[in-house]
Order: sequence, then C-alpha cells, then structure tokens
Amino acid sequence: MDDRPRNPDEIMENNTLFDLNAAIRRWRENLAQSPSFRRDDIEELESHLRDSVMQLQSQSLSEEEAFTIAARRVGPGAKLSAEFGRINTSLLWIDRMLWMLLGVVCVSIVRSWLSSVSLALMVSNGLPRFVSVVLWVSPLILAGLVLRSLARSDGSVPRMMANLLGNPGRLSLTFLGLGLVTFSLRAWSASYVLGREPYTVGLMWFIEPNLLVLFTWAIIALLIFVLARRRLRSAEG
Amino acid sequence: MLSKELVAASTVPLVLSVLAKGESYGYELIQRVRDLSDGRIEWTEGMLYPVLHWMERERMIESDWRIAESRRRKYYRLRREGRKALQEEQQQWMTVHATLTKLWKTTHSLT
Repeated sequence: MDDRPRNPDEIMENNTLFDLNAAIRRWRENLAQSPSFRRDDIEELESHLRDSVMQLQSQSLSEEEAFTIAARRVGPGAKLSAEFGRINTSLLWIDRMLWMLLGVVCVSIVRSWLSSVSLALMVSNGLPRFVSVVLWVSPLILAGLVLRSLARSDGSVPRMMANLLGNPGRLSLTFLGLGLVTFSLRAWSASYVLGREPYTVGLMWFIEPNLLVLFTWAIIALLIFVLARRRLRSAEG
Repeated sequence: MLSKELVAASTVPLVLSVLAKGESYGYELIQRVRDLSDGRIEWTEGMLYPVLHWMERERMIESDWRIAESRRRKYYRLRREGRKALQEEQQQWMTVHATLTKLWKTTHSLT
C-alpha cells in the first residue's frame, strides 16, 4: 500500500506519466543488486511479471495499478533473494570468495604501504613531519570515505562496484598495478633507509628471493581474473 | 487458505501433477493451481521459481526458452524421473487422504 501515491491528483498525474518499461527496468535493477540471481532467473521473473501485468490490465486496471499489484504478487526482493540464494549456492560462494580475496589483498596493500612509509620515517631527519601525521590519520580518512559512500543511497556505489566486477580484465589489471606500486614503494623505502638509489635496490630485489613477491602479485591478479570471470559466466548460465 | 508448511509440502506434487497434463510455464502453472483450488492455494508467485529450478536440478523436469504469442517464456516439462516421483507422491498423499477420511467417517458416525 505504501508505495502508492496518497494524493489523488498525484495519481492522475502519474497515470499519464507512468512508463511500464521504465518501472520494470528499475524493478530488474533492484533484483540484480543481489548476487543470488542468475541473469536467466531475472529474465524468467520479468516474463512472469509482464504476463501478470497484461492479465491485470485486461481486468481494466491502469498500467500503474497493474504493475504495483503484479510486483507485489511476485514477492518482495529480499524474500526472493533468500530463496534463490538457497538454490544458487555456488554462485553465492564464488561471489563471497571474490570479495574475500579482494578484501585480503586490499588490507595487505594498505599494510604494506603503511609499513613502507613508517620504515622511511625511522631514518632520523628523514621524511617531513606531515607524512607521519597523514599516516596516522589515514585510517580515519578511509573510514570517513566508506561511511559517506554507504550513506549515498542513489545507487551509484553498487553500480560502480558492479561495473568493476563486471570487467575481470580491468579488475585484475587494477590489482596488478596496485601490487607493482606496492612493490616499488617498498623498494623506495628500502633505498631511503639504506641511502642508495631506488633502482639499485629494485635490482637487488630482483636478484634476491624477493622476486617471489612479484610472482605472488601476478598469481593474485590471475586468481582475481579467474574468479571474476567465473562469477560472470555462472551469472549468465 | 493452506498453512505455510502444507503449501511448502504440496508445491512439488502440484507442479508434477500439472506438468503431467502437458508442458507449461511458471505463470500458467500458478494460474492453473489457483483456478483448480478455487483460489484457496495462493503462492507468493516468485517463490515458485526456485522450486522449479530445484526440481530441474533433481532431473524431475526440464526446461527451455521459447517464443510464444510474441513473448519469451521458459517452458517446463516432465521427465521420466518426474513421473516416478509423481507416482510416489500420489501414493503418499493418497495414504494420508485415505487414513484421514476413515478417521473422520468414524468420528461422524460416533457423534
């Protein structure tokens, strides 16, 4: 009942403005935010919704009324998502594993950056003071940014995330890039402490077993790519 | 109205029984069950689909997308395992039905 306009003038106005296809698109987007649905599931539910709307319209209901009733009969998104999730468990697990992997990688990147900078800070008369201030405040800034993005309810954050996850190649390249930045930052901080040119330290690192670090980054990027692609594939299948 | 538990337990035999009469798609299945029960069996419509997909995974039914009346719809039909499952369901439900009927008859004759 709540999603109906209460003002009768509004109803009149909406009758002329209501766009069934746009409403169905919004309804689909709302469902697609949950990882429980494969694309095929949403297609099937839409086909059902359209049948239901047509049937209700033939009982001389307006397009908007028909859509509202049909959508309510199909059921609330959260309930559907829970039931579909019980069927599509592999889909959910791929999704969770990908998020866990991304989370672990992000944490290790941030930790590595922090430790690189604090290593450089240890050198007396080293880095300027503001760097250490930024270093200690940075978790607060990060938390503030996360809170702000959560508070924005226009759906831009989920859409951004979906775009990122929808492109496995770009996603894994982003993390490979972050890994290389992390590696160079470590080389730089080591050179700072040792008082040598960064590239010689970098070379030293290549020769030493630290070459493993680069390998690890490549493998992580590959893993992210594979998981993200499997996630896309099974969502379509 | 049926209780939640009974709705959950009867969905699979109802779907199997409707599909035994011929292939169908989700919306039509729901309409058939509503009509046959005079509106007393009401599903949250979207909830039927996870059940259909589960039955498909259990190989009771199979499905394919088809275009009918210029609309794309996913049709379901019974497989051999589904017919077997239907027979078992029939036996079980008839056992319950027969037992209850007998019990209620004696109750009536007693009162």
